[in-house]
Amino acid sequence: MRVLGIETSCDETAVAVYDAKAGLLAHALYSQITTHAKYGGVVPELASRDHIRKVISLIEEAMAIACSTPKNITGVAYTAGPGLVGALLVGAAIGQSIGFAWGLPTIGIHHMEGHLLAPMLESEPPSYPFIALLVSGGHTMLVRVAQLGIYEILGESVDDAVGEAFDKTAKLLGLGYPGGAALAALAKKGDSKRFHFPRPMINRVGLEFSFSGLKTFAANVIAAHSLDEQTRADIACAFQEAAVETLVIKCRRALRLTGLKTLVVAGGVGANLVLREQVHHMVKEEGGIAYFPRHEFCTDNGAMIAYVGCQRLLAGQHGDGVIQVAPRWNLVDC
Amino acid sequence: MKILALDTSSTACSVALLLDDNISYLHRVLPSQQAQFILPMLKELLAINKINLNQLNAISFGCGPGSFTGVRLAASVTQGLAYGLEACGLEEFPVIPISSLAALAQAAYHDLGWKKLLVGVDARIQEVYWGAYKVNEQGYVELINTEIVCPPAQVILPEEKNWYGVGNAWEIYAGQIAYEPPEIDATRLPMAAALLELAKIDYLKKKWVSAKEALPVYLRDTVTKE
Repeated sequence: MRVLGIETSCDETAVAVYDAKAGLLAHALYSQITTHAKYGGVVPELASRDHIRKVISLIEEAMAIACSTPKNITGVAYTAGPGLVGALLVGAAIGQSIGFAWGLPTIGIHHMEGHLLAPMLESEPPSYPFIALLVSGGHTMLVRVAQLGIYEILGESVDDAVGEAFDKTAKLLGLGYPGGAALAALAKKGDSKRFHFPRPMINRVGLEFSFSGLKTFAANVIAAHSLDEQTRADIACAFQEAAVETLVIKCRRALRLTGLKTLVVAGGVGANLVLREQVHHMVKEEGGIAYFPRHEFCTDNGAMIAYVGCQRLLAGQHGDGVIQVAPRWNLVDC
Repeated sequence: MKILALDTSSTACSVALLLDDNISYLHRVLPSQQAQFILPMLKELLAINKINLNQLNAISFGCGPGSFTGVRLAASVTQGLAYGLEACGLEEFPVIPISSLAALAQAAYHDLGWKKLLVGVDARIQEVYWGAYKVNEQGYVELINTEIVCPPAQVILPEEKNWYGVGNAWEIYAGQIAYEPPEIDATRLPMAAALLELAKIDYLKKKWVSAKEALPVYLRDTVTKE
């Protein structure tokens, strides 16, 4: 089984070829960050317009790197949701049409399932069952992964995603958009003792998150201080510490509640080095193992879609050859 | 000559197949459902005519202007099919983009015999997609000047008289376009069959693009404020 995977759910156009035996053969990506940066966020119509200009070139690139022809591709997978409807439609329409032209089964993949299983692309993947912390600009959730397709959401954010809080705080600190990574870089120079930010919802039972209060707290601190370089770094440091500690506390709680020892951290915020370090430390204390995708597969990519597509096609699942997307799609329903 | 055509730039889902001189088509008005129906309709049309995709010489699509999502859908499907055929060993597979406004004009000429046509389609936010077309001696529409998007009061009007009006802008913006055609046809939607009449001319002239160049024409290029 060798699968062509296409990802167009938001602002990255990505394509990959995954082989069930040989593993990941190729992945190619075009980031639209510069297109959207001047607007301070993703503009859906511009995202769709960029995707349709790039998908075929990326497919050609990935197929060439993978030394693949239509004859050795056995399935086509694409992100069917959740995401921006116009952006999803480009990938779905191209994926289904290629499947039709090549007479192959096609399958629409849940974007977050892709992230959830991205660590499976590594040479030492986790074994089922495990707990996954999905942290990105659109999602913050803890999921119990029993096996492929069997997911239980243990807790999620009741308001903003942690990545969104990172990006918005970064924007207020003058770090541009998306500024989560720049905030993390600035935080390295900060004094962690100068400000103390709240750790939201850690005293409440359960595994829910909330980051809008932390974001507002950051906005108030920023408004109350003159922003010299050191102050900006100190605020970035305090914000990051609070966000990371909150995530780590909930992860520890999830491991203890379920009795599982394996934790996977996925999604764009999973690239944050402080989060990685603290998760590793905590999981070690709990006697478990933590897994992370490589940095480039923390953010949106085609490899995770090709991988999940391959697993689902191997399990005998496939779509009905109709172009359908689900901009809102609960992970447990995929 | 075997050319497949599709247009989803309006509320219609329209597919057609040219087999030498015969055109067969399926045309259904399916607002917001074209994505679900376009591939099944293409498959149905090919099956009716007992044609496989790999027998095609070219694919034509309505490249717009029209609904952004609609023209992108037709372009995406065309890209996928054309790339799929190209990758199977055929050298650059010919893709023939045809203006959805030209398709309206060609169909109006075909059905009503009008030879001078002012095509106006609602572009929302109080604007119209606009193009003036004349039928040449061979019976094919040719664009006069350029296609534009603008408020109905600012459309470019030819100096000659006796132009017929085609497209829903004539009804939606009645009285706002500073011209009164002898007759209008405001209910016509772009049909893939009309694309084929124009696409076969381009095919014979080898006027085509590759799969990845099968891109929408939006006309409205400013979609947000910085």
